[in-house]
Amino acid sequence: MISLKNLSYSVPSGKSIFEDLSFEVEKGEFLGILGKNGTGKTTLVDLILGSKPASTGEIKVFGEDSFDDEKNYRSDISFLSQDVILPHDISVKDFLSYHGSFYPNYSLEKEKELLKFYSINELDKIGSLSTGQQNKIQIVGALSSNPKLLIVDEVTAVLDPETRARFFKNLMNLKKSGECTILLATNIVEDLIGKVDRVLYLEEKRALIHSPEDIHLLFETEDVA
Amino acid sequence: MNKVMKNIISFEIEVKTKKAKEAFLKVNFTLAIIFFAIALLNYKMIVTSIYWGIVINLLIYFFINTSFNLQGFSIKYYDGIPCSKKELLSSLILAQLLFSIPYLLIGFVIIALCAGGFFSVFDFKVYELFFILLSSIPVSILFTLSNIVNFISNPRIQASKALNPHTLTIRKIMSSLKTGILSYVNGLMWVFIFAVPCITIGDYFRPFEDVDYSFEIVAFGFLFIGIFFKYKQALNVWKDERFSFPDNKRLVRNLKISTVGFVLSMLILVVSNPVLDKENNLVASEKVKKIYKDITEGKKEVVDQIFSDKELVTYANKDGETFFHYALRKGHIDVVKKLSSHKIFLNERYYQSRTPLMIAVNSKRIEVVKHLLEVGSDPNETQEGGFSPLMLASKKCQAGLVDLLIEKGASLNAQDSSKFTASHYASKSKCLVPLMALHKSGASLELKNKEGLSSLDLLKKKNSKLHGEFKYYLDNYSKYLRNIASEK
Repeated sequence: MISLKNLSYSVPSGKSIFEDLSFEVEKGEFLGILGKNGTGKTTLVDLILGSKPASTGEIKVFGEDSFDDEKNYRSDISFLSQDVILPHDISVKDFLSYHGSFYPNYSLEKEKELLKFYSINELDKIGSLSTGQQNKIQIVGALSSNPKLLIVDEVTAVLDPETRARFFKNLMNLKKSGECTILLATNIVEDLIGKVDRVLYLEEKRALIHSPEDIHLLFETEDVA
Repeated sequence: MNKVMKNIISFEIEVKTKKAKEAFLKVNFTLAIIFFAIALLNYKMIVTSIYWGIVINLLIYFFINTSFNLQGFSIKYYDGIPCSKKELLSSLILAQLLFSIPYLLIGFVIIALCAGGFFSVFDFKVYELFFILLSSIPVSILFTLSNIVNFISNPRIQASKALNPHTLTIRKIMSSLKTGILSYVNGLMWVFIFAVPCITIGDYFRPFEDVDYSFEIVAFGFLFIGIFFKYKQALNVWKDERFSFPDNKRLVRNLKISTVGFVLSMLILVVSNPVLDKENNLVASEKVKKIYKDITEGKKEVVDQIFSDKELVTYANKDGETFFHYALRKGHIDVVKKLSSHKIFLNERYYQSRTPLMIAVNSKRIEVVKHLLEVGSDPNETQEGGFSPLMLASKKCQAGLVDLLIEKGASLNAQDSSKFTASHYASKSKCLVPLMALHKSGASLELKNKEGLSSLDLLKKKNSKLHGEFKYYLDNYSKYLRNIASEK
């Protein structure tokens, strides 16, 4: 499904972010991406999305080069990011109708269901909603497009506990279906334990695969007074 | 064009139009209040600056509100949707072009229709609608290009430079274009929105055009404009607040006021539009326009054309300016000579309370002044308030004109209604050479103005260093005179 081979990436200023990174993600797998601030979680997501070209090595998604501008799998991916800003002066309904128009498998029925699930009034102007509420709208749009690959980049941090629980309920349902692969980049350990299949831990330009149970061993939180 | 591109283009245009409309409403709401004042004052120069203010405001708001990265979705959103870089870039560029060219064309049509108002700040000039429209096309393209640079510097698009090295070169060119245009527009904004109104407000309160306005009035102008800008900032805050609390009744009411302001400002714009004024130069007949053009270019033959048509001989614009007055302002000696040979023009004594000699002195053309004096202009004929040509030349620091007027018998110690002499004006303008010329010719430096200040007191008040230098000159000049006397 996703395969990275000998991937290296340096920012234009020359600083190296990854060196010789290799791993694979299977279809239907739920992979957590964890790492301290600045270790390159968002950069890795950008590389998989094809927003940036790798310096060396290759990234294949659905068997195609992720940076190929003519790749065929675009409508099978949904992307959720903390950096997405939505226009303030349009309604939730207008946004979802615009967003849905890009996806052939977009389900209006699912959209309606999710709006209810997350208690969103579709007539509200986006600008009148909080950041967390705006993220909920993104979630509705992403899940309604029935993706085969869902990439989530740190949107959970601003969600309230109830919404986060609802969001993970949605993710677990997707996982159960076995049709959707999920990549979740986060700083919150609780987002991963008992939910993800594996954890990709980024540290010093390298990535190591861990089981979710080992996550606590990765951070030295006990010593911080 | 595929469905994805159509989606992006139609959505981008829709959101951009909405934003531009909002910016337009906001600008006009603020300006509506000022328009009321203008309508009451009916003062041409303020109208001019406001016209420029509108256009520059529109351009600035257009640029700020429609820049890709500040507009609607963050580019990160487009990273996630199913479209290729090519589709994204082409759609957004096309959307920008489709939006900006008509928008800017409308802006330039407004300028063209109000050309009299816009360009009167640069003195009279004939501006052709066609050329103004033509000039709008490269400007629209430049604005579009400068916006496109935001895309190319985006990480997603930036990546394409790895595939295509030309993109990097284009990016560099566009970046420099953008920087240049922004600096230019910024400069224009400060000149026309800030400086011109300040000067013109100060100008309005001047009793006479040739008398300096005080520091207090200029300061008032700056204060006025400062409040105006603060008010605009407040409106920005209000806009953000409105987005956050859409159901707030007070804010909704303000929106209605904004709409009323827009309608009012547009109405006043139409009413005060110089094009609607049939006496305006710009709606003058083609033959009148041609005469203005020929005078500006200094063509002597123009005089024969004027005298071949009775309508042209008696022609004066809405301010009462005849072709002779206009020629004096432009200062082409051959045209002035030929026109003044016809007494009908020399008898047109006043334009804006000035004699032809005053107009010539004001335009600092020594040969024109000399000619007028030769054909009989009185160097001591003053305009309202007793302001004489010698006072004007002294105030303008024109030593040559001061010498010429003194030689032709201008009264050295005449005082105007403020009891100012020519020496007072030279002191006030800190002009030592004309002051020395006046002193050498026998002008009194002791006469006092209404405030009880002599010209030397005034010089000391304006600049103590210059006053010291002048005192040094006076001492040496006295010694020099004594030496001459002793030699004799």
